[in-house]
Parts: sequence; structure tokens; C-alpha cells
Amino acid sequence: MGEHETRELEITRMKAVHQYIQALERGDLDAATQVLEAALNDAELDRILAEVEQAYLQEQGLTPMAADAQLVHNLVRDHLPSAFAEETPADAPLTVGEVAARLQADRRVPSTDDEAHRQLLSSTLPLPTWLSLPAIRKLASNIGVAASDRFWRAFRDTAITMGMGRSHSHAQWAAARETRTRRDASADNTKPTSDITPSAEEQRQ
Amino acid sequence: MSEISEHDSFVVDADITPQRQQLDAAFEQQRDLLLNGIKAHLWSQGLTRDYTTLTELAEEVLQETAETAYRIADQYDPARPARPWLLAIALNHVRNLRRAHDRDERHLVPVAETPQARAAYRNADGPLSDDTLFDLLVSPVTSSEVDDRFAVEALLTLVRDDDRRVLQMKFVDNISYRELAAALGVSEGAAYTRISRAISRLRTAYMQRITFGQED
Repeated sequence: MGEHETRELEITRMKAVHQYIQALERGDLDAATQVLEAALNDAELDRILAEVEQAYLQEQGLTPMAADAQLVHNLVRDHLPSAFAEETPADAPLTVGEVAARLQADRRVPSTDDEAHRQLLSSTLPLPTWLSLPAIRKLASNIGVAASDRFWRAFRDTAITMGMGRSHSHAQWAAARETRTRRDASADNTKPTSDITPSAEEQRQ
Repeated sequence: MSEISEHDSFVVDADITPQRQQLDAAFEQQRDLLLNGIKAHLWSQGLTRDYTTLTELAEEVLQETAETAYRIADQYDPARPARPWLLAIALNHVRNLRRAHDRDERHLVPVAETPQARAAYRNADGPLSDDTLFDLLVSPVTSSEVDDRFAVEALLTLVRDDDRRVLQMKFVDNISYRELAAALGVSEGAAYTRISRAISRLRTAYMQRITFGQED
């Protein structure tokens, strides 16, 4: 095979690999099958496709080692929460950046939306109270970030889950505060009245 | 895998054709590669978000693929690599799983994810299709025209620094993917992925530029 033909073959192969990666990222099985048909005539293309699949799995944390690491991380987070940095106070509204960070931790960001996701990570905008899809779309339009429907659906689901978690911890936090207040109040009841009410002299001043 | 062992015993009893021999070898030697390909596509379809379920689903699909492959073995050309043929069969099973999943979940498929929309995307040439963009990017190497090199350099100013760097290395410096992978400290597959995404972003940036004008 001449140099020109080799170069042509290499370019055709590059295009096919690009088409396969795009198909994988968009979940386009028809386009992926088309490339596999081309690989039937090109063993080197098949080798590259196998490399691409391996890289995709590694990137998504889907190799056995990455999955084990994630499992350990989740177990530690569930059973030893003090090992992790203290979370935002429960009163603070959930922000777009916090939801984006959780999506990343849960590996739910489609790679085609990496760029949009990166922009959201730094956003401190609070989320709307009512997390309907139209409300999320309006928020996206306000921020000026374009991402796939799949991404926004995952974003909304995660925001709702985080919101529920936060309400739960807020309720626990409020209950603990209530208990503390009651305990403090009962301790105060043992003190002389003059300690908590102004004296006649203080009132005159 | 038990299902494949059953096939093996079946194959011993039947006439062992070159097709079946080749398929036996492929299932034995390329099982992990096949599983990787199946897992990647299952994940890409969003059928599960859990690694254990993904592994189980991939094993199921591989078993179904083996059944189909042995049934239609006479259609396989043993002179060709077996993996792409088997993976194409596996993708049919993944497609069926996706349909069943959509039915069960009464899932509403967004317009952008319908097969029609995907086909339209693939076939859309527009002012700059992926193929045209590739031809343009490889032109300094194929034509050695100075103007082509300038055109590519100008085009690359549209993308962010990290994308420009990898595109320059590949298309201006004309290094191989293996060398690119070594330079980036990633696998060869990851290097292909980096280039593919950089090209996609370049195309988007170019389309935005011609849609919204130079001042954008």
C-alpha cells in the first residue's frame, strides 16, 4: 500500500472512531452499528474501538477497581459521616453548584454535557423552591447554560433528593435545637429571678 | 460462563465449521473485550446507574449474543474479525432492552433522543459536517499548502486552550495517537476520545461563530 493510500486509510479510520465515540456519547446504537460494520473489514479499527470502550468505562468509573473505590467511599460516607467536611448549614438554600457537584460525585454527568456541567459547578445561585422541569429549564435559560434533556432530568432528580435530605437533616437539627433550648430553659429556672429580669434599679435607668 | 459452555458441548456434537471454530475462539479469548463493549453501550443507554447491575446485564446480553451468534453462524465470514460482528449482534439485544425499559417505565423519550432525531443529526451536513471538518484539519498534512496551515491555525483559535493543544499536536504537528497518548499521559483510547470531543466542540464553536457573527 502506497503512502497516500495509507494516509487515506488512516483518515477514514479516524473519522470512523470519531463517529463511534459520538455514537457512544449520544447513545446512538444505529451509528455505533454502522462503525462496527466498517470494523469487520479493518481489524486495526476494531482494536481502536476496543481501546475507546475501555477508556469510556474507565472515565465513567466502571472498572472493577473504580467501582470498589466508590463502594468504599459510599460506605464511609454513610457510616462515618464525621470523616467528611461538615455540610452547609441546613437553613441555607440549595445552590446550583451544590447539585452539580453531587451529580459529578454520583457520576451522572453525560460526557457530552461536561462543558455545561463545568459552568454550573461554580454557580452559587439558589434553586427555585418548586423543582418542576419547566422551572429547571427557566433556571438554565437564566444562567445561559445549554445541556441535554437527559442532563436536566438528572439535575432535577438530584436536586429533589438533596432537598429531601436537607429537609430531613433540618428537621433533626431543629429538634436538637428545641431540646437544647428546653434544657437551657429548665436550667435557667433554677437561677434566682433577679438574674433574668431587670431589677427595679435597672428599670429606672 | 455456563451458557457458552452449553454451546460448547453443542458444538462438539455438531459439525464444526470454520465459523463455529472462530466464534468459539472469540468467546474464549475476547470475552472481556466483548463485555467491555456491551457495558459501555448499556451505560450509554442509561439502562442502569449501578455497577453491579451493569455487570449482570452485560453478562445476560453476552449470553443472548452467543445464542444468536451460534444460530446464525453460517452468516459469519471467518476471514473477518469476530468481535465487531458479535458486538453488532449484542447492540441489537441492547436495543431490545432499551425498548422494553421504555415500555415498562412508560418512559417519554425526549425529541432529541428519538432515532429520527439521531439520524437527522448524523445526516446533517450543515455548513461544516464532522467529515468536512476532519478533511480541513488533516489538510496541512495532505496538501502541505501554507494557506491550509493558516486556515487550521485560525480555526483552532475558536476553541479553549486544552482543546487547541491536543488538536494542534494531532493535526498540525501530525503525531500519532500513540504519541499523543504518551504526551498526555493517558491511554490510546482516551486520546481518541479527547480528540473526538475537541472536534465536536470546535464544530459547535464554528457554528456559533457563523450563526451569531464575528463580534460574538
